[in-house]
Amino acid sequence: MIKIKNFTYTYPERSTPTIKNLDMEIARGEFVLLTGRTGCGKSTLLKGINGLIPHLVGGRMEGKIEIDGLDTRKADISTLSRKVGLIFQNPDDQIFSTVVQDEVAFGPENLALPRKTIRQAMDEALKLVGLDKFQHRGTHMLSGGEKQRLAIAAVLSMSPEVLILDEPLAQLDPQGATEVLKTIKRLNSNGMTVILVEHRVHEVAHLVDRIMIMERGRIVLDNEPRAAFERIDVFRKLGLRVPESSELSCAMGFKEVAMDLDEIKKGMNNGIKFPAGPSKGPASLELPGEKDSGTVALEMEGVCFRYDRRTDFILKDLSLRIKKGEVVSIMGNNGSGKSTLLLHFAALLKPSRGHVTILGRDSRKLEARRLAGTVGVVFQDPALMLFNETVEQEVAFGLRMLHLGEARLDQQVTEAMNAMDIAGLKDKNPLSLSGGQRLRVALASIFSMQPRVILLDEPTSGQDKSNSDSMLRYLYALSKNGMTILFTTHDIEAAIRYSDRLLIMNSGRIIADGLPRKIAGDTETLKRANLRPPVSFEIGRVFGIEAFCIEDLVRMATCSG
Amino acid sequence: MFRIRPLTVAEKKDSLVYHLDPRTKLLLLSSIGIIAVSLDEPRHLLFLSIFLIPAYLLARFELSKYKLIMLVILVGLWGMVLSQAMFYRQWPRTVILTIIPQDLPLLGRLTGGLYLYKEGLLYGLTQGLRFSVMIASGLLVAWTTEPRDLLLGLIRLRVPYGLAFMFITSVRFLPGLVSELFTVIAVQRLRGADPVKLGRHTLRSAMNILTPVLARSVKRAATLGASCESRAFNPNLPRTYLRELHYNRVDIMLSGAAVMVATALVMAKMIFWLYCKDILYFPGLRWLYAMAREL
Repeated sequence: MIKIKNFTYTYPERSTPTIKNLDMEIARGEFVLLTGRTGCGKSTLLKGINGLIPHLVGGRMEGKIEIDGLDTRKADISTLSRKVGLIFQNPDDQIFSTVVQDEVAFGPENLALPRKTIRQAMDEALKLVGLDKFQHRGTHMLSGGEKQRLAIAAVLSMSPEVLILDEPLAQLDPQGATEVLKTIKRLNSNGMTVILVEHRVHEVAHLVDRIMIMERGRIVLDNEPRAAFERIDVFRKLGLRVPESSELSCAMGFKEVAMDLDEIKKGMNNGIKFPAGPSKGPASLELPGEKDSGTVALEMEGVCFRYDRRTDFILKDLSLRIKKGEVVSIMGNNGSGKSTLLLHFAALLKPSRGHVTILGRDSRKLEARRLAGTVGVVFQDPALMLFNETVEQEVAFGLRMLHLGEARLDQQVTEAMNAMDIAGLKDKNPLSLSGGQRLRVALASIFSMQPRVILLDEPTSGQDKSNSDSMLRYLYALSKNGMTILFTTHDIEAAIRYSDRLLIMNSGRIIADGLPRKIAGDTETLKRANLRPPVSFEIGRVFGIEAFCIEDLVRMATCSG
Repeated sequence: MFRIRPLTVAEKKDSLVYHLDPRTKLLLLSSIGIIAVSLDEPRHLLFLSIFLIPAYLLARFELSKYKLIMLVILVGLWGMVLSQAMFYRQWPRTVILTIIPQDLPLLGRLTGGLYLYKEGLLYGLTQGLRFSVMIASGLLVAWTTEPRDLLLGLIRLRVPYGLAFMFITSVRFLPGLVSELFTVIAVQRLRGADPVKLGRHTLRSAMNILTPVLARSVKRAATLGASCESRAFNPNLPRTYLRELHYNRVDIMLSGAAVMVATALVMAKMIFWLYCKDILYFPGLRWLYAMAREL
């Protein structure tokens, strides 16, 4: 279906190619996972397959890409759009219609199809993604997962034979990601060729026929999943997360990599076992334990919040006390009220009812600006936090606003940059950096002010594992010096590893509040919030042990042979 | 904090102003704009403004929208009337209030005196009312017409598809853009800055706000462009449309009347101008000259 021969591509005004001499063949109906570090050339390759390179992006292209015998260099974009559909990371950036049916009809309208044909194509596409009842709904009323499915329907209406998706799960909550993956798998089962670019290898590996890893413009691994995970070192080196069952089987020395729980069970029968009976299990790497601090840093009492009287409450009667030095993670699907809660603790939102106290002061009497240097907020999109010309200026900005002396300013800036490993980038423009680097700059710009409270809105979203781990590890270390930290996340393992306390939110209420391990094992509560326990927990439960991350499983496993 | 969506999106209710064809609304909007520019007398402009009130009442908007339009109109009127009344430089001009007398020590010398002029006040009132009428009618159309209908309306009025698409797409992304603007301001406040404060750092602050918002917009535009192109978008090629608009009798009557009034007014003004410039004079049109002088 797709033949790529000696493909080399250099972007305009760049001297080195992003992709070098790439050869690849993908058969009709194959489901390929393309992964690798940020900037390795994955998205560029997709643009090549889609024909955006060289038709629209320009630059220098060598070699040949053929889609079903059609040379992408010779065919025009309109013809190619009927062969290949491209989905981007953020559905909000690609959906421009205000009503679902307009978005889906856009492609067939551009092809000047008759009205009856457009309607048929639209109905079929919406049905395929399970949005057939949403035809007249406003696009702004859809959830993240629904929006991404709409984006898929919008290309399906042009009847492409290949679907390529560029990190379609990055902006989605667990429920949305599940919906989208199910849709993609269903399309593939119907015979569609799928190329999926994704960092979250562990979540999609079980669906795909083949895994390709790119590094510096080349394919460094190309194999079916089981064979690919035999080279687990390649995944680890690139900070890619592999499925727990595969990781466990490799760590325990199985002869063959396990792809699911059944295969783990089978492997266990061959002489490897967990301690018998239910066990509390040992602590994982960063099991924090409750910190013994009496001082309350943040408090909410009977808080209700809504934007205006005509709308429903977003926060409903919340009462909460967070102690100094505590690290609190907040989980819940989009719209559950997590971010709204965070913004209350920065005095950016004031409660409609009830009281919020920030470090002993009533938030109603506080102006957000007066909290500078005391409360730091890292927003979900770090790019919106960067406006200075260099990284160094960015990190120093807050301190300058606080009129800190030059010597102390230099010291704090250097400390923050070193901590976030961005000292080498100090003269670069923050907006020219990669997503992970931008987040580190945004974090450093907050850390440099040494606030007493840090609030982070989904800091793990769109980040690879190594980035998330190093950031959260550093945050946890800061809490030991008395810094209070609240972060929202969709990653339950991150919440278990790096927080003292986990809050689960659903429809504006806190439905669980306690030790992360305890809550992560409470499947009923998690289910109420449309969340799932970590896969390690599910594996452990089968063997009667309590494990919450892969390290737990590996540590508890004993080899009796 | 960032909830500005209700102010930027159209509502959908069961009322005449919502049911009108977008082409009718666009024609009414253009006609009102032409009439507002053609009229010179504040009392006529005031009458034109009052004409919009029933339409606003029929629209039954959320309260926030009424508050916004009132705010925009009052601030616009106040600013224009006051600035023109104070800084009117044409002759003749009649002082109606002395703010700083010319003979006041220091300030009087420095400023040369500061006065409110009657002619400036009337000129400011005319400009302010023109501005109010245009803003009010523009927002009325925007708040009662879904962007998809507006797009179809523009296309059916023979506006090039690429241009209409660009306009409507920018409207679609406006709420997100404003929300990002508020986020950036909040971010900077939490780092000790006061980016909306006027002063010697205003320009720098504006740049600090605009840089991340523009960078994000450019990135979004690139994604959107790629998404459109990969769905065979080409503004220069013929395309078909799933939906169709329906122009009914009320639409024909309203748009016809609006276009006729605007055309008649422009014609009357032109004929009067030709007479004033001694280019063309018809004794039989003296009644028209007299009327046009008053408008």
